[in-house]
Amino acid sequence: MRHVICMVSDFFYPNLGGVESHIFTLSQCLITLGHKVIVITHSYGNRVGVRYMTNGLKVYYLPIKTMHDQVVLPTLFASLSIFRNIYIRECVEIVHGHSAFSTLAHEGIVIARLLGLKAVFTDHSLNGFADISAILTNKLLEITLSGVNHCICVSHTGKENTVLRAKVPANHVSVIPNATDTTLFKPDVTKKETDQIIIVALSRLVYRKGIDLLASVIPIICKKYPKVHFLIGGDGPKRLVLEQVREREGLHERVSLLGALDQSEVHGTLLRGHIFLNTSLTEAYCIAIVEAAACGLQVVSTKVGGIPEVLPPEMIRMAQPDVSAIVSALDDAIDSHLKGTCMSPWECHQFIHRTYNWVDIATRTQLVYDDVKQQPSLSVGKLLCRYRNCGPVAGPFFVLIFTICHILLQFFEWLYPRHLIDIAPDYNNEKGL
Amino acid sequence: MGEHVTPLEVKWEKVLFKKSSFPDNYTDPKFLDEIKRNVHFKPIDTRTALLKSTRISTQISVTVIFWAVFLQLKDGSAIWEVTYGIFSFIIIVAYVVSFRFNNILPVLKNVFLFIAVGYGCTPVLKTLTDTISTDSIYAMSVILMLVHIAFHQYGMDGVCVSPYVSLNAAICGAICLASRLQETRHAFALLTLAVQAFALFPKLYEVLNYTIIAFTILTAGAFCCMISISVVSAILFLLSIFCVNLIFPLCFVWAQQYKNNIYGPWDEAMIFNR
Repeated sequence: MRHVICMVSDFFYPNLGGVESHIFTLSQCLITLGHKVIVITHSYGNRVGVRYMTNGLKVYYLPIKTMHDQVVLPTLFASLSIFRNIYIRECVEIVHGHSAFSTLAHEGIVIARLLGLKAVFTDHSLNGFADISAILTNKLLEITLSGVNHCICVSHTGKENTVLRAKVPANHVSVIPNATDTTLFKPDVTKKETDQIIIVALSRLVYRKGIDLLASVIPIICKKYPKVHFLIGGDGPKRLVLEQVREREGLHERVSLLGALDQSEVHGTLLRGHIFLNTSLTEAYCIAIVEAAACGLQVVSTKVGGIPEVLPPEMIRMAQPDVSAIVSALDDAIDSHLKGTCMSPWECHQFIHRTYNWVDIATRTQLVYDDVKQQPSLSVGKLLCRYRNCGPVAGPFFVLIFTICHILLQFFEWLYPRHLIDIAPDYNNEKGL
Repeated sequence: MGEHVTPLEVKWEKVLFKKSSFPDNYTDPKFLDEIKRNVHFKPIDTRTALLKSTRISTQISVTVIFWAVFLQLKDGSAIWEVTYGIFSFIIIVAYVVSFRFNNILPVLKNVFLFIAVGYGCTPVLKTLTDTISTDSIYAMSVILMLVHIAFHQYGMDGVCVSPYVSLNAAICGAICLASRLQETRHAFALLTLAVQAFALFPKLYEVLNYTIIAFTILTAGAFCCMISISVVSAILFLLSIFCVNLIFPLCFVWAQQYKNNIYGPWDEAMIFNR
């Protein structure tokens, strides 16, 4: 069954990150499987309008200004016309939103549902319940997900989190992990230093990535093992903490802060290392450890979120998120490296290639689309009833907002009827593929 | 997505690295097994809740006494001297009991400095709020006193707790009210009372911890002050004390049964031994 899918998210190329690469690679695989895929995101600098990427992946960079952290200001009404136009032009059947923190994804899904289209949502992150921002985000997610046909999470822990915070029925949530392009992450033992043990840490240097833990671990390990060197890639507000540690302990020769790395530099950096260290305090999936394992590195990570689900025990050493536990796990990994008892790099690579490949992920996502397409369409009345059940205050408030949206959509239908909107030619059909 | 029928011997595992014969939307009976609820929750019993609430009503009583003294001063009533005297006497007794007079000289020096500077600066107050209407001054003072009560520390830390905001609001409110008094002597008396009530009293309360005694004396005192002003205000005061001391604590104790803090593997880890 061929589908016309529209991926919607604030996070997309030229921005780099887990969600961005997930959307791009999944779209490429779905195109290969014969589906039509378009992407809607907001403008990035002067990148506005329609752009074509590999395999004719059409990307709409909407002329909407970002508010904070690459997320657009939530207006809903302002986006109505442009979303409606794109959905009709591209004959979209399924709208697939990505990330709970993406305003555009929420708006795209709500508008799609009001237009009678099917909607799928992928949650890439974990979120708490206690603080004010979490309460607001969770309520917004509950509203959005009460209208979607199906939800996807990248780990079982992620599913538990989403089911609890958005009150989605558990059988409406599928667990489809992230994947990695193993052709880009191949081991190469010739690139490694033989007289040194290099520990690599690649992440954004922010609190939730456990940089404070990393900063505490570095001097202890350096004192214990004179041959150990640290390669730290990434940038962020916590870089200062690492620089202070390096300065205070006099570790300039042994701790390299590489700064923000380009996507093309990640593989080369991983190949230089023997051990990959991840100190995250929360993580739904953690693609970094999968990429490191694909390059044949021993992985040491904090036992948080969905990380215990990702790699088998023989490929990862997990520690509680405290300094002594991480040091102990690193001791174990260094000892294993020195004795040569760790799993061979190519074995690791083959395992990742078999387990986390994009073709498998795309096929499983396709099953979700097949199921969603067969579901009966909901009338606007029934849809609004679903939204109404999202709380005594939020429910009626959002019903009012979405009713206004529906009226505006009817107005646009009168002002600019769908038969007057040109249908965009299909790139693949044009190419005769 | 249709649930696939799977052989009984195949066991679902909460991992992603094993190929599973279960559908992606399969939900195991062990789903949400790792969930923990109210991990750090210590329920508060009725007695503790009622006892702790007296701290709030004591502060309300202090604020009410302060307002009563202001109104007595404004009306030119001689009762203010009695109220002021009793309150000052309580503060002095509390100071003696708390053994703060071990070294009396620095204390006397500070008192003398405060009296000299305070009395010297009081005449300025008269012209301070000349351009502001009396209604605005009263409204502003009420708001500032409410801010003082809301932000007061009450022996605990919380989101909206700030002893600095609380004290500044109270003193600012006192200055606003003092600027509306005709005599310099009266304005100075009100300011000294403000310092005693909003700066010294909370400190002494923490040191002595005579919860019930302070509550009884000050609530009775505040009620007497209110009666001297009007019966309606006295009834409103009693009603607010009744709510703060009985209704709200009981509601709080009752509401604890609905507390449902969820903890699980998705929570951001806490760093302890950095």
